[in-house]
Amino acid sequence: MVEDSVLSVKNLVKTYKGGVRAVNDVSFEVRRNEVFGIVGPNGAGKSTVMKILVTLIAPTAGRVSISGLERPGEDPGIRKLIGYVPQDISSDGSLTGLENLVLSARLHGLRGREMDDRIDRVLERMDLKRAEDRLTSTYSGGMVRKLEIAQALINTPKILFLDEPTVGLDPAARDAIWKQIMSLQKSSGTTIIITTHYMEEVEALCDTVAIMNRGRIVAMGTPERLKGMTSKAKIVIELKSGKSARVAGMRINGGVARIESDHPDVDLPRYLSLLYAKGLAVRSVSVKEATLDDVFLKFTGRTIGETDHGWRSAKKTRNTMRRLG
Amino acid sequence: MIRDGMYKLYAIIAAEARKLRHDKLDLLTRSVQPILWLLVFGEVFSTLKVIPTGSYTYLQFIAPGILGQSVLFIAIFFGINMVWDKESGVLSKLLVSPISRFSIVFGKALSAGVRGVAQAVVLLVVVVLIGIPLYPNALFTLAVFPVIVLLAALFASLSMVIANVFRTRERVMGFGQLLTMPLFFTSNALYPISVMPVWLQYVSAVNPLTYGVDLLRGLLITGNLSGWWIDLAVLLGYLLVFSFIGSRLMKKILE
Repeated sequence: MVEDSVLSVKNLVKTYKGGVRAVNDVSFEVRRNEVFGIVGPNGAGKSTVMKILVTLIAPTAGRVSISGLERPGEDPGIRKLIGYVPQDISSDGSLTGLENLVLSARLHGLRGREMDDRIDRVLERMDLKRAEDRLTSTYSGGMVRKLEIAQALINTPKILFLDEPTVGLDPAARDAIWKQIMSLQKSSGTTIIITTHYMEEVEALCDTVAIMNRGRIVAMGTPERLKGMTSKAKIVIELKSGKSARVAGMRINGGVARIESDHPDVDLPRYLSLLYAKGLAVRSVSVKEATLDDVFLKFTGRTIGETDHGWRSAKKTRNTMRRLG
Repeated sequence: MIRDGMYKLYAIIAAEARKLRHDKLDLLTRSVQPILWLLVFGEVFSTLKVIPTGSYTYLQFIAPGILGQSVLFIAIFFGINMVWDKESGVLSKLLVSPISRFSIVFGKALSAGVRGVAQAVVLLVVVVLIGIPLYPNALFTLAVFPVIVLLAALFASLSMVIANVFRTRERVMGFGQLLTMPLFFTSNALYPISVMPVWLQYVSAVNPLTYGVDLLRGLLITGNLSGWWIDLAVLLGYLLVFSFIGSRLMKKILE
């Protein structure tokens, strides 16, 4: 067991009716006060993993331990320790922000002064004080997300679970949510587990990343380490003539050469001089640093955008977007 | 432990009551139909005098029946909210809160009672306004409200069982429609059990609405409460059974 571990998952399996293996032998550990990202395309199984962790559905096999409590078996205890923001909207649109918070607080057994203080604190923290008396159905998408996070924080959870927290949000709102997540981790020492299919989100937020594909974790580590698993950069050289050729191991296809390189600073001049020596004029050059997208491509053979979302998940995403406005 | 459970039930009921406050128009529009039953159907059959209602007028006889029916109509579609909550993340979040499945279903069921009571107040005002004589006992009249809560909770919990089985709004709506009229017409809401054919009397005897209306009629009109404990026991029994089944089914609802 990893030192400081607050959550440990061992050989987790979830098989749905009809034999679909949504989660296939998944194991990982999460340390205290880290932001742990589970990333993958829709249908990779990341939401299912999260639903198992937050006690919504039972695993078919495997062990889950949260702060020393086993699941299933100690679900009621676990529920007191965690906060959860589902992918779909979970604040009640027919209640005001304050009423939503009161409900969450009471469900955690809070009352009186303590309840009021906690509610004030999370409202303040999520910057929603001015909107507390408005019906949630009038909130913008970003505000709803903030309220949901506020509700999930009402019991000062040990672990906060965020399922696709920025799906369907505009860039400004997404940015605001990121800032909140980062400040949460810094100031309150909360452990945060987040699923997403935005790679840039992972790079910006996560201390550790698990890449999931078809129910399995195919790679895991810090974003830096994962990026180290693929070549550092891609060099693209475009020639003035559109011909194809091979020059010293460099394959030119229709006038374009794509080269993977760990040391583009050294390699690029070398390639250019090779081309000049052959009398091939260069039109343009670009160097692209490796991203987690490239890592994903390397481990799954597809880019995250290419994956088939299917009718169900497409409907779900669009519903979320529509409701978040 | 029990105190904690009661507090969380209260949390759910209070939230539902708040929703009602934000939606007063709904309350009024829902009152139209039962008022029509009283004013049109009641008046017409009162003048026809085809249904034997003893020493009471027909309007007196059906007023508690219409009250029971209006509660049934509100509560039987309550499960649609649950489908909606399931399709959004509201139910997920509730299920992850430290509260038992039974408390969720039971609390939601009782909160349907809040709507029932609000509706009953409107209807009782109408009953008084059109001059239907009530049994002159304020305690009896007040006792109507807990019965309304019980009846609403019972049908709401049945509706949540339906929601957990059928899982889409359309089907819950359809099945609710399918149930309302038979429950209404096989009860003692519109005519006494004694005029029913024998087979219908058996159906009526397992229809929870019959027991609710029986209690309401005793409290509001006749003052005759013989067998009140049977009525109460049957209503409570149905409520607990439906809530229990509903909470068991809910375990699977998200898979």
